[in-house]
This record gives sequence, structure tokens and C-alpha cells, in this order.
Amino acid sequence: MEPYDDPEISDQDRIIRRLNPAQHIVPDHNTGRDRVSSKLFSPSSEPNGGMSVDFPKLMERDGVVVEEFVTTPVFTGSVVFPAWAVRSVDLWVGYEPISGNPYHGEVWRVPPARNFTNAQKKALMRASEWFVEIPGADIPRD
Amino acid sequence: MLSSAAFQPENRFRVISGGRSNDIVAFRRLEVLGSTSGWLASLTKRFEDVVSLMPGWDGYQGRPVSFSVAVFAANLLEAIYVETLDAPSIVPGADGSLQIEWHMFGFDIEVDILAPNNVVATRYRHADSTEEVVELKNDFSILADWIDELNNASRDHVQFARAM
Repeated sequence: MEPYDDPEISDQDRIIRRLNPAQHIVPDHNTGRDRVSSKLFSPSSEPNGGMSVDFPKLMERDGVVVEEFVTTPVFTGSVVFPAWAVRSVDLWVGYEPISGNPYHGEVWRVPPARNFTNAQKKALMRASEWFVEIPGADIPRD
Repeated sequence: MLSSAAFQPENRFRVISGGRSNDIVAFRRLEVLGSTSGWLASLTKRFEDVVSLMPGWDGYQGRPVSFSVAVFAANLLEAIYVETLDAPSIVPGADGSLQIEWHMFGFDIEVDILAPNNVVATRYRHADSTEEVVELKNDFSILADWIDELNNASRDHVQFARAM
């Protein structure tokens, strides 16, 4: 799908990014705790590839229990950030339903590039809060 | 200059896979070739894990780390190895890429390997909140410098701890 910025997604809409704790959580010896890797906030390098996300507003509209949907079967953690945080660093966000997940979307860099800039990744991390928390792990702020 | 030519030709791993059926590989194992550093010895199982990830491992459409990226990462680690530093963390990307990370001794060092010879490295120093970001293709000497400085910071940390 061509990247686009969907006007039906309001700046206040929440966006979920799932994480796999076995892959995305690393030890931080500076804090003595674990942390979410910045690699979580990276797009696919496929042509027009973005960073996969879920839209809880659509799940709630369909009566789907969001916490269950985004943690089934093994993806036990997730973070949530507002759409304005995406747009504030010149990223686009749009719906892109896929097989098995009609609530799927993408965050794209415009113009297309293989990766988000470091500033874009950090902006998403700073705007993120836990949706399904991994105990003992922090979302880095710096 | 620590150029990619210094470490790229040598293949540190041989992939052994089997049980293939309809594009599903039942198992994949990496055999380490020759002698390796302490880092690679401790990370071999982790490399095996990330090149064997199931499709959709990230909750979406993620695919396993590509073998070429894993080999490049292993060779890069061998080239910048410092015996007195702990091995880094390895984090897969949904697109087959891989990130190497150290978070210790007042530094965050992240080396994002998007593809062989396509690397973005970031260093954040907590003491003065400074951040450096470099794109690397052929010359990786700045990474070796960062690791040396991290090693110096670890020595200072040990000396400080002994003095306390």
C-alpha cells in the first residue's frame, strides 16, 4: 500500500505497538532494570513498508477486548502512543487491514526510507506509555 | 581505518537447516566456524534464535533475521571485540535486520544493521546528555573507538568501586 496520512485518524486517537518481550526487551545496566529496545520503533525496509500498529478505537467499535486481541497468543507486551506524536515528527499513519487483523495499520516515513531517523524513534518512545506492561522494564525517555 | 574489507569475507557461521516443507523450516542451527571471541561464543545461541524466528514473531508480519545480516554482525563484533567488556544484546527487526546494543557505564550504544554495509550507529552519553549518530558503510573505526571508550569507562567504574 502507498503511504498515506488518514484524515479519519484524529490526533487524539491511540495507536498500539505490540512487543515480544523475548526479543524487544534488553538489560540496561545503567539503571539496573530492563528497557524496551529502540529497535521496536522501526519500519520494515520493504518498499512502502512501515511500522505495524493496531488501532484500539476500531476494536472497541467492534466490541473486541483490546487487551486480549493484542496479546494473543504470545505477544505479551504493548505500548500505546497518540497519533499526534506520529505526525509531530513528519510521519504518516494509516489503516492497512491484513489477514487476521482488520485493526492493523502502518506508520510510514515520508518520503519513504529504510528506517526512521533517531529523532523520530525517540519522539515515539517519549510519547509511549505501557498498554500491556512488562514488569521490570522501562520505556526509555532519553 | 577499520574497513569492512577487514572482516567481511570471513563467514563465521555455517547454517544447518532441515525439515523444510512448504517454505517452513523446521529447524535452523548455526555452526560457528573456527575460533571466536568471548562475545561470539556467548552470542551464538542468540544468533541462532534470531535467524530462526517464526514468521509473525513480532505480533504482525515480522520475519527472521537474514543470514547475511547475522554474518555481517558477527564479523563486525569480532572486529571490535574487547575482552574485558560484556557481550551486547541482540535485537531483531521485523524486516530481517538486527540491532546490537550496550547500555552500561553511562553510555547507550546502539548499532542498527539494516543490511551488510548499511549501518546506523548511535551513542548517548548520560553524563552530559550528548548524542552522536553516524551512518556507516565501509569504515567502522568510529565503532572501535566507541567500544574502547566504553572499556575505559568500565575500568574507571571498577577503580571507583574498589576505592569505595
